[in-house]
Amino acid sequence: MVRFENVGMRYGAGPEVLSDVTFALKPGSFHFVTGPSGAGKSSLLKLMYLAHRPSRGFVTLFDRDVTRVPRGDLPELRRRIGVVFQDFRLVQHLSAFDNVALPMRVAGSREEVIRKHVTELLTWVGLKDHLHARPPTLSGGQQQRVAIARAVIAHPKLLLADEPTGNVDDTIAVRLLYLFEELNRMGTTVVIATHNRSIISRFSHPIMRLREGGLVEIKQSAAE
Amino acid sequence: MSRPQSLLPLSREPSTRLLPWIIGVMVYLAVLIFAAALLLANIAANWDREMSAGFTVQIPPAAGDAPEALEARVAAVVKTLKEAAGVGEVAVVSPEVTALALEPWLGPNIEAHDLPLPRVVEVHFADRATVDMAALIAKLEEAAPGTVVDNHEFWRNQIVSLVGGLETLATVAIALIGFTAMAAVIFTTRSSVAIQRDVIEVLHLIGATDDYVAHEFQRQAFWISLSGSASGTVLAVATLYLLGQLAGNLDTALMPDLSLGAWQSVLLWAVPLLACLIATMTARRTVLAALRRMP
Ligand SMILES: Nc1ncnc2c1ncn2[C@@H]1O[C@H](COP(=O)(O)OP(=O)(O)O)[C@@H](O)[C@H]1O
Ligand SMILES: [Mg+2]
Repeated sequence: MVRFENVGMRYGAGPEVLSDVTFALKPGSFHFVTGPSGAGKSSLLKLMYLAHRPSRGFVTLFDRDVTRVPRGDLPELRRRIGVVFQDFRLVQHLSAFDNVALPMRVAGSREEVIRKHVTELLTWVGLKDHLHARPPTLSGGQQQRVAIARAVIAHPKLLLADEPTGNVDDTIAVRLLYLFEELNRMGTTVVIATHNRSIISRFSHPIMRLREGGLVEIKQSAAE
Repeated sequence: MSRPQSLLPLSREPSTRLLPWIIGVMVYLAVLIFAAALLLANIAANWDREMSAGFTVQIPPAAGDAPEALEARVAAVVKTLKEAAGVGEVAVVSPEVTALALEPWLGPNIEAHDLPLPRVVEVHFADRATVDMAALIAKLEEAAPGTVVDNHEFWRNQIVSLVGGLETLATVAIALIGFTAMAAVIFTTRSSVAIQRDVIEVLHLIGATDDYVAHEFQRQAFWISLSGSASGTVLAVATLYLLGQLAGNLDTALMPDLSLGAWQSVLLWAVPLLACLIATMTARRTVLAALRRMP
């Protein structure tokens, strides 16, 4: 599903923020990526959601060497990936409904199918009464649920979440993680970047630990 | 809330709000200039048709000629003309009519000036192709020495070059208008793409193709330019109508026919449509070029 081989990454002409990262994730797996702030968690996710290309090494996604895919093939690959961005990146002038509908519209789904699925999902995450609210009028936690709904609406094969529990208290954070586990049970490969140890410790998923741009260990679970 | 929000609204910044106006003014000017060029071409074609329908022969009185001698020469000219192949109607213009035609220049009492007026014969072609002008001119000179044949060559050449010059001018003006409007569309689209870079990036990460993003801009550019060019065209047509009314009040003898043919009207209506098409395609190409520079 995801393979990194000796991957290095830098922003522009800056120093390497990831060095010699090598790992492989099986389809249907569930991993936490952890490490101190600035360790490179977000950068690692950016490589996986194809926002950046590695400066060296190989990144393979869905059995394709993404270091070499032409620009025109990226949209099709990206449609199989759902992303919860650290800062949500909701479109501020669109309603919650239209934000969640975006991945389906972009993929060319029919409008009545979109209406049904989006309404269902937003109802499921408890935003039934906020379908037409714009992000600035929603609380941080509500915006986060919109962001998560947008990430999962198109049934991605790979779900990537960057600090998805950053803005909510631990009870809500755990509930959101149950949602990700639910998706994982239905076959989605999940990778969650977080520095929240107390959350990680409540689940028995493997942990990838980053420090200063290097992958220092992959533990099978926090319990080990 | 009723109308769905546009995904990448083009019209949020002040520069975009000017765009329909800019396109409206440009289309207004382009339609007027184009209409003027078409009318001019029509007038020139009319004149040309009238002028090439025949020619005039002037028989100047020789110094000290008796009036009878002049009449005899006129008769000789008329005889020669009637015998020539391809010549149709031959009409001798009476001295009174000639004097009347010269009145604006020479004043009412030409007789009093004792100016020797030439006699004028107007000739219409029956079949222009069979007329051998050079041979005819030689024969006329033989019949009545000093005869001047004016086949309007000079005026026709003048008009052809004048109309050609004005048409070039109109083409250049319309091209400049087009380039200016395109520049406005390019500028607005670029700044719009730059301002909405974040949203475009999210769209890309969600799996939108460049084409999808370009389509969002393109659609708005189409509606903006349609509203602009529709108002520009309506104003231009109203202006042309008013000018037509004013012209109608003038002496009809002086005014040439100011109307466009059917296919010319179609061409005129093509101006706003072409403006829409150009604006839409310009927006599309601008967005695609800008997107290719994004990751
Ligand atoms: N857009 C960027 N441009 C330049 N440097 C960046 C950028 N984003 C992150 N970095 C740098 O890359 C390193 C890793 O950052 P990041 O991946 O955000 O770490 P984490 O998510 O673990 O906090 C940091 O040193 C950070 O300053
Ligand atoms: Mg981060």
